[in-house]
Amino acid sequence: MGQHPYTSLPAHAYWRAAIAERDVSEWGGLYTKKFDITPDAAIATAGSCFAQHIARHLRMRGFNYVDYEPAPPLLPVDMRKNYGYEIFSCRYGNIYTSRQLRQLVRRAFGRLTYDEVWVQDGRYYDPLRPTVEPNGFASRQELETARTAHLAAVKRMFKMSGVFVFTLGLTEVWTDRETGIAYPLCPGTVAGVFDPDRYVFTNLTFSDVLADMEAVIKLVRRYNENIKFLLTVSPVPLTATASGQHVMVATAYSKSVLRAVAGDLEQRYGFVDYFPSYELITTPAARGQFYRPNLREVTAHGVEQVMRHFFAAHGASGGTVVEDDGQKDRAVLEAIVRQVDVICDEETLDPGRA
Amino acid sequence: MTIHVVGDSHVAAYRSGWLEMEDGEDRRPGLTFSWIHICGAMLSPFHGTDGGTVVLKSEEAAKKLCDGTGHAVFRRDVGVYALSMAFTTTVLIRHPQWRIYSPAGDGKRPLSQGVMAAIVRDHYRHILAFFADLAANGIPAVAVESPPPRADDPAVASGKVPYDRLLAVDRCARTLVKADLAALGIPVAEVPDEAKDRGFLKPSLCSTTERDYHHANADFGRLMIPRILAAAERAAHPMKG
Repeated sequence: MGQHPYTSLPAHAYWRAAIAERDVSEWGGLYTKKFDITPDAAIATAGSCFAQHIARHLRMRGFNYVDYEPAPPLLPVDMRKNYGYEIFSCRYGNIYTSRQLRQLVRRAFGRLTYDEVWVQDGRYYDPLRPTVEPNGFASRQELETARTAHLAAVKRMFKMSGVFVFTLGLTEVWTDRETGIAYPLCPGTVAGVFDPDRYVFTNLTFSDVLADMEAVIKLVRRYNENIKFLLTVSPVPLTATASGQHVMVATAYSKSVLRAVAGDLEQRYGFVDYFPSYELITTPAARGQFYRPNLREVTAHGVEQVMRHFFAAHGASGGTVVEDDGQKDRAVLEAIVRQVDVICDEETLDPGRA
Repeated sequence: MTIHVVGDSHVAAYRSGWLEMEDGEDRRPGLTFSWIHICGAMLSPFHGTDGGTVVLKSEEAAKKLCDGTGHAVFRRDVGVYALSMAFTTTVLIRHPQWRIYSPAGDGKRPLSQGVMAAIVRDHYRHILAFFADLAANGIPAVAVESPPPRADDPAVASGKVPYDRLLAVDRCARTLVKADLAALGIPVAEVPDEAKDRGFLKPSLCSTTERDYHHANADFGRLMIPRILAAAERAAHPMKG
């Protein structure tokens, strides 16, 4: 037999050598970075649930992960996520679809106005981020003030970021029939009332997602020509599908479309990279070990595996691996308590009876 | 009725006010105040329960409680406790976060009422737990509202934070704590409007101690005494409404 292209490929090109004969901890060479993420590059994240893990690890590993809507220091650490803080770089909650992202970018840069508010049991909900206030806002004005501040933070994020990490989640989206507004969750599930005459189900196609992402890139780079995009696809299957298909089939459709769009963008643009977290978790070679018993959520071990490959390529930026437990915030408070206590102690009292 | 006034350093003003009151000026016979200063440490766990009583973790504070009331624990049979602790907002408003964050919707990073409630309830969590344990054990208690912030408090006077934002924080904290105490059935001796000037403690009611930008004086104490008495009456005889 003569030579042919498959006789002299590197080891990672062969399934048996690269995967089947190796333990998962030995897998390597799955990702070659397209560009460096320098220590001073401001990184922002958004996307579906899995993107939260990426954000957390970037923060822990000392990268210049920037939170443009940080939690108030006095809000206890364990309550911050309940209010949409410290999940992503802004309080937008999960952005599952390309349509949502496109819409957010347009709103942040003043290309789209949206002022709808859902009122339920006397509380006010932002239909485009209904989970950031667990019990809704107290008034329409409070909601609108928060919304304005949020969009300003998003705009700042896109203008100042060096790298925007976005995890594509799914293709299924509920939209307003008339305005085309895309909702993060089906109206009526967390807030709002489902109106079948108004809300329509859409399963985005490859062309739809590509057009959305192209629009996002174009608009963001108009304001920040140096920004780079790092795309990933969430390995978390759909919780439920409204497509009429079996959820397994619907999941495959969503993920395939998203993976294909990410690949297309990565191949066409030097400033777009793709990181294969989806492949690392979902590959049959992992035998499902990276999923929790519900076969949806990714285990901490799975996340570690993914991030190991990421940091093998990008380094750990020299930072210490520490989770912020609010110690710094507590120290500030304790200093004030000591200051007040001094003057209180001077307020001498005689114990006893008047 | 015996009333034991217990709590943070604002107790001093109530004590001075009481001492300066003329006989007959609401100094009804049989009324006794016990002044026990357990200032500080109330933003950390400071109490527990033991067989129907509420105990203080600090031996020093327990001793002061014993000196004043004859018992080192809070019990249901020694009168009404008037507790000055749940409304002291000084630590809260001096926090530098208000330079950036605001519940007042005034252009900085806005905080919703929900977030503010979470902040306030966390700040006072040990104090609210203390009141909850008093209520759960049937120990008669009232909460005494602390003096409003002073306009000369460094947090206000420095001008680093608009004063109306700090007042909004103070108002929010007091409103939430009052609601939580009401839910526990704890009456509150509230600061009367006549003690306030634009929301701050009136200058004439401020302590004149040098470098003290926090406390009220005996005149404020005198204003509060009738309110403490009225709240204590409600605690001692809850059915009277």
